[in-house]
Parts: sequence; C-alpha cells; structure tokens
Amino acid sequence: MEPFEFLIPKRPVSLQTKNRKNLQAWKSYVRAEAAKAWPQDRRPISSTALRCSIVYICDNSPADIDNIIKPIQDALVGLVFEDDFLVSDVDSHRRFLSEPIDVTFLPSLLQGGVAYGNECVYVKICNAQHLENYL
Amino acid sequence: MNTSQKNLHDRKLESLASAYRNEGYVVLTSPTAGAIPFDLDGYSPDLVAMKDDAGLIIEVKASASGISVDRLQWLAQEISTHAGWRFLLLTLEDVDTLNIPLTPDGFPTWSQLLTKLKQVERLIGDDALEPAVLYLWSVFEGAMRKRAIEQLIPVDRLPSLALLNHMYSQGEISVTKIDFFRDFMGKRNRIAHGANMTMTQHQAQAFLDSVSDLLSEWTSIEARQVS
Repeated sequence: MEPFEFLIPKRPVSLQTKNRKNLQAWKSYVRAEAAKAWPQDRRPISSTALRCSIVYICDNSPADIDNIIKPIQDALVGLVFEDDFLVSDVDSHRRFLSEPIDVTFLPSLLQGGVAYGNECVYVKICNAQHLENYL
Repeated sequence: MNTSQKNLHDRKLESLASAYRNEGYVVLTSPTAGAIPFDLDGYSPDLVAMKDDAGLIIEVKASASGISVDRLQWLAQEISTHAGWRFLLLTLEDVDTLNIPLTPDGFPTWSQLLTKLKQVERLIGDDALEPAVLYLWSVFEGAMRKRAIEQLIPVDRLPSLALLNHMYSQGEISVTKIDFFRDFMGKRNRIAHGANMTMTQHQAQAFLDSVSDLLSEWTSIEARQVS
C-alpha cells in the first residue's frame, strides 16, 4: 500500500483520562485531521498487516508517549483501516522542541511539524515489515 | 540531573524535611520502598512525612519536563486509598510552594468560585476589563489546581502553563477549548507583566463564559460522583 501520513497540529490527549467526552472530542479532532489527507474515494485498508508510526513533537511538559497511541489509532478506524487489529507494529517517538532536532532526512510533513514550533503529532501508516528489519 | 540541579534538588529536600519536622512530622528522606507502611509496587519516594496515622509521600523532580503524569497519577490514586495519606509532586520549577494549598479545602469552595465569577461579570459590566481578566485568571487557575487535587492528577503545584497543558492532556479541558484558554492566558500575562493590552468587552465576556462553562461541568461531574 501507499504509505499514508498526516499531521495533528495539537498537543495529544492521554488514554488515561476519566473524561470520556473530552477523549471522544480528541478522537473526532484527530479523525477530522486525518480525513483532510485521506483521499475521499479511497476505502479503508482491510487486508494487510500495518505499521503505525507516531512522532510527538513536544514542549517541556509532555503527555506520556505510550498513552497517546491508542486514541490516535482508534480515531483512524473506519477511515484509514477497517479494524485496529490490522495494526501489528507500532512505534512511537517523542522529541522536545527545546532541543535540536535533526530534520535533514525526515519526511517533509514532519519537517513542517518541527518548523511549526508548537506541539504536534506526526502519524504514518504503512505496511508492516519483516520482523528482522526492526531488530 | 546535572550537578547544579542535584544540588538544588538536595537543598529542596533538606528544606522540606526541616519544614515538616517543625510541623511535628516524623520525616524520612530517600526511604527504601520497605519503609513506606504500604506496598507501592517497589516505588521509593524522595521523602516521607508521617504524623499520627497519616502522612505525605513526596516526589521531588528537577523540572516539569519528563514527568510521567500517568504513572504519578496511578501512585496518587493508590496512596489515596490509605486514609490520611497524600501524594505530593514537587518540582524545582514549582510556583510558590509554600502558598499553594495541599488539599482542595485550601482553595475556595466551588460555590465561592462561582460567586467570584459574578464579581468578574460586574467588573466587565463596568468596563474594568484588565482587573476583570486578572481576577478571572485567578479563579480559573485556582479551579484547575483544586480540580487537579480532587482528581488525583499530581500537577497541582506546577507552573500555570504546564498545569493547563496537563489538565488538557488528562482530559479535563476539551480539545475544542484549549487554544482559547491559552489565548486567555497570553492576554492575562500581558496585563500581569504591565504590557499594553487591547481587549473588548465581548472578548472578556467570552473568557468569562468559557470559565463558567468549565466550572459548571466540573461541579456537575463532582455532584454526580458524590451522589
């Protein structure tokens, strides 16, 4: 499949919240941002193992990197993939805006996210790779 | 933690230990996990202060960056199950440590906060916009700190921006409102720092309405939880 990427121009919300309404509002926001980049005539992916990569560009008091993944994945169900069970591989990365970030070989969308200068989350969905490629 | 931060960290611990001893607490600095009267999954804090059957478990961090609020919230929830025990997170960046209350009771009641909002409304009606915004911010910040303590989100002593950001990431403030509250904070800061600020009654009213809505939401959730 063609890799799909988009940028969420906001600080993320943690899975741990007890406020379901605000968590849902966050998922709706993420879905709307993904929908801007997802081709209207493209159907959700249904038949391949997927890799979800997340890069959180954060300020000095970031949200927990491990607890921001699931709400973002949930938001993409029915739009980018039919079921989040298809996501077999997940990697997430946090980088501080206050520290140097080498953007030389980063995707241009993520370069833009770093240049944006505010907290944001870059998301990329692509085919899962053979295990040995990760290890 | 670099050497300078380590020195500041150690001095903070010493001053806290001394302050709590003066208040009659038995204080242990850097205790082992076994020195805590209940199991916290191997966690050992920076300081424990005990008095009678109650106590404080205190974690001191060099800065607000790199804090795992979710992990510390779990600890706060676990500790709160033991009557009389509380968990405090302090950072070397904390605002005015001595003057931030340790418990929700140290802040105005929700009802008093709502009354203060009516006073803000009168200030806006009188076109006293700068005093209105400064006062409204103090109500908003007090409400966030009070709410954080009540919800066992251990960010109640952090600087204002980190507090606001964590309350948002912990789901207490909606994604639809966070930029609005950051804008509010920016305008409040300009006034607090003595800069010129142009604002309309309409803008000040919008800030008031948003804070009122948030407080109504928090107090109604509170009422449901109590009942």
